[in-house]
Amino acid sequence: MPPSDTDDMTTVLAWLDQFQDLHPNGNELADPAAAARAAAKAGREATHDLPFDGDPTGFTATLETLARKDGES
Amino acid sequence: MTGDPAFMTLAEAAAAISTGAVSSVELTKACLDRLKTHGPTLHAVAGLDEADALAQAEAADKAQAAGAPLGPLHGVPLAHKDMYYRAGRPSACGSVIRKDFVPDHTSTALAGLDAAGALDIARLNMVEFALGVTGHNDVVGTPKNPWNTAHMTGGSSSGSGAAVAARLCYGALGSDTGGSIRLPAACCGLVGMKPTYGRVSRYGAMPLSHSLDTVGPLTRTVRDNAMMMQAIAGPDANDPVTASAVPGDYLAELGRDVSGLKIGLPETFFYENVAPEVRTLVEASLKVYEDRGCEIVPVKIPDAVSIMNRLTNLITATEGAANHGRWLAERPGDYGPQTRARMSIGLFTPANVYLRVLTLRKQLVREFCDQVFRQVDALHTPMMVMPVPTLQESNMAAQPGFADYLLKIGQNTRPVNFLGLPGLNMPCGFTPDGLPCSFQLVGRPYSEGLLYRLGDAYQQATDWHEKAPDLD
Repeated sequence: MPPSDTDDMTTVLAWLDQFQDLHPNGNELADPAAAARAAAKAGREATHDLPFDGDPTGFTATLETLARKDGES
Repeated sequence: MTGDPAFMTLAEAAAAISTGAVSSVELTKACLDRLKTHGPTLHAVAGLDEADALAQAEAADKAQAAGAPLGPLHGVPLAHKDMYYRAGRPSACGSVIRKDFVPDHTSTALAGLDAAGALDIARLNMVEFALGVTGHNDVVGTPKNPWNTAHMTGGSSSGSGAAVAARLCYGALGSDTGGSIRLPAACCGLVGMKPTYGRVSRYGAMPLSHSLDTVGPLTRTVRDNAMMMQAIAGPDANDPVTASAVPGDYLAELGRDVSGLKIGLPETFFYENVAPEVRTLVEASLKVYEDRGCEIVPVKIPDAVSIMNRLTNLITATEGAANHGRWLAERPGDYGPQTRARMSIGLFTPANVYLRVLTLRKQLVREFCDQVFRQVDALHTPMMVMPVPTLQESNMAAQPGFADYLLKIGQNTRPVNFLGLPGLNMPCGFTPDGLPCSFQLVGRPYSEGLLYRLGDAYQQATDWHEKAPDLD
C-alpha cells in the first residue's frame, strides 16, 4: 500500500463497511482508493459544463445518427 | 509455413473443406494436436473436450457428404474466450468464482458461428472476469506470448491471442471493453476487430461493463476476420443495445480500391508516449496506404480525448463493481489481487458522476465524429505505444503506480471504447526484440466494412500476416 494512501484506508474501510456492507478483511486494496479519487475528480471536471437536462440513455441511437448515410457498411 | 494444415488461414480452411480437398476431421485433428502440444506451454486453453470436438467434425463431414447446404464457415475449428456461454458447458470466465458455472443458454455470438457451420473445439483462457489489459491472471494462470514466452499476450482475451497466433485454431472470439481484443491482437500479431458498440450482440457473454462491452474476432488475416464478423453481427432482441440496421456485406469490401480514401494522421494525443521503434513501423504502414493512392491528412484530435482513458476506467470499474457486488462482499478472497484492486475502484464512484459521464459520452462522440470524420474516412494510430512488455515488467499486481501503467498500455484503445467506435488492429511488423507491432484503424459508427477494406488493402501489399511464431 503506498504511503499516501495509508491515512485514507481507515476511512475507506469504514465507508465500505457502512455504505456498501463490504468487509475486505485484510484483502489488499492498495491504491484503488487513490485511483478512484482521481477518476471521480476527472469525471466531475469533465462533466462540469454539461447542461442541466442531459440524458445518459440512448447511446446506440446516438451512434446510429453518426453513421455514414451513403450505404457504406 | 509448414505442411501442417493448422497453418492455413480460416478462409483457406473453409475453402478446402468446401471443395473436399480436406475434411473437417483432418483440420480438427491438426488443431487438437497443437492444442494438446502447445496449449499447456502457452497456458492458452481453459477447457478441451477432444471427443466432442471430433464428434462435431464428424457431423460436419457427414452433413457435407449428405449434400446439406454448407455455411461459409462449415467445418472450420474455432475456439473462444471462456466467457461465451454454451448451454450445458462450463464457462469459468478466467475465475475461481465461476469455475463450476454451467449456463443454461447459448450466446448469440456462438449461435451465429454455429449457424455458419463453424466448430467450437475449446475454451480459451482469459484474464479473470476480463478485467485487465496485460493478460495476467493470478487465479488460473497467465497465458504466454507465442512469439516469446517471456512476454505478455495482452488482455483480456489473452488465450484467444495466444491460440490463434500459435495456430491452435483458425480464429477466436474475444471481447473488448477497454482494448481486450485489440491489445492481445497487437501483442500476438493478429487482426482484431472491436466493432461499433451495439454491432454484435452480447447476449450470453459474461458482462463486465454494460455500456462498453463489445464482441469481436481475432484472426490471422482481415478476410478471416470479416468472415467471422459476418456471422455474428446484427440486431438481437436479446441485447437491447444492438443497432437495428442489418450489417453490410463485409466480404464484398475486400479487394475494393482504396485510392482516394482519406486517412487521418492524428496531430495530437495518439502519438504521445510512442516509443521510437513503434513509431518507425507505424509510420511505415502509412507509406503503404500512400502508395495505394490514399491521401494522408493530418487531423487535430479533440482535446477531450485525453480524459477518455480515465473516464472509460470509471465506467468499467463502476459497472463491474455493480455486477460483482455480491461476490466482492461474500468472496473477496476468491478474486486475484489485481482483479479485486481494479474492481474495487468502482465501489467509490459517486453515482452522480457516473451518470454525468454517460451523458457526456454522447456529446463527445458527436464532437469527435464532426471534427475527425468530416475530414477523413478513417483514423490511423499506433495501437500500443510501447513494444510488447515482458510478463515480469507488466506484472504490476496492485503495486503503487499500477493504474498509471495500465492507462499507458490502453492509451490508444480506451478512447475508442468510450466513443463506441469501431477499431481494427493491424499487425505491421516486428520491433527489434522480435515481438509484433501494430497500428489501429478507427472509423465512424458501423464502418466495419470500410475498415476491413483498408485492412485488406494493407495485407495485400505486405506479408507480416504470413509469419508464424516458431514453437518447436
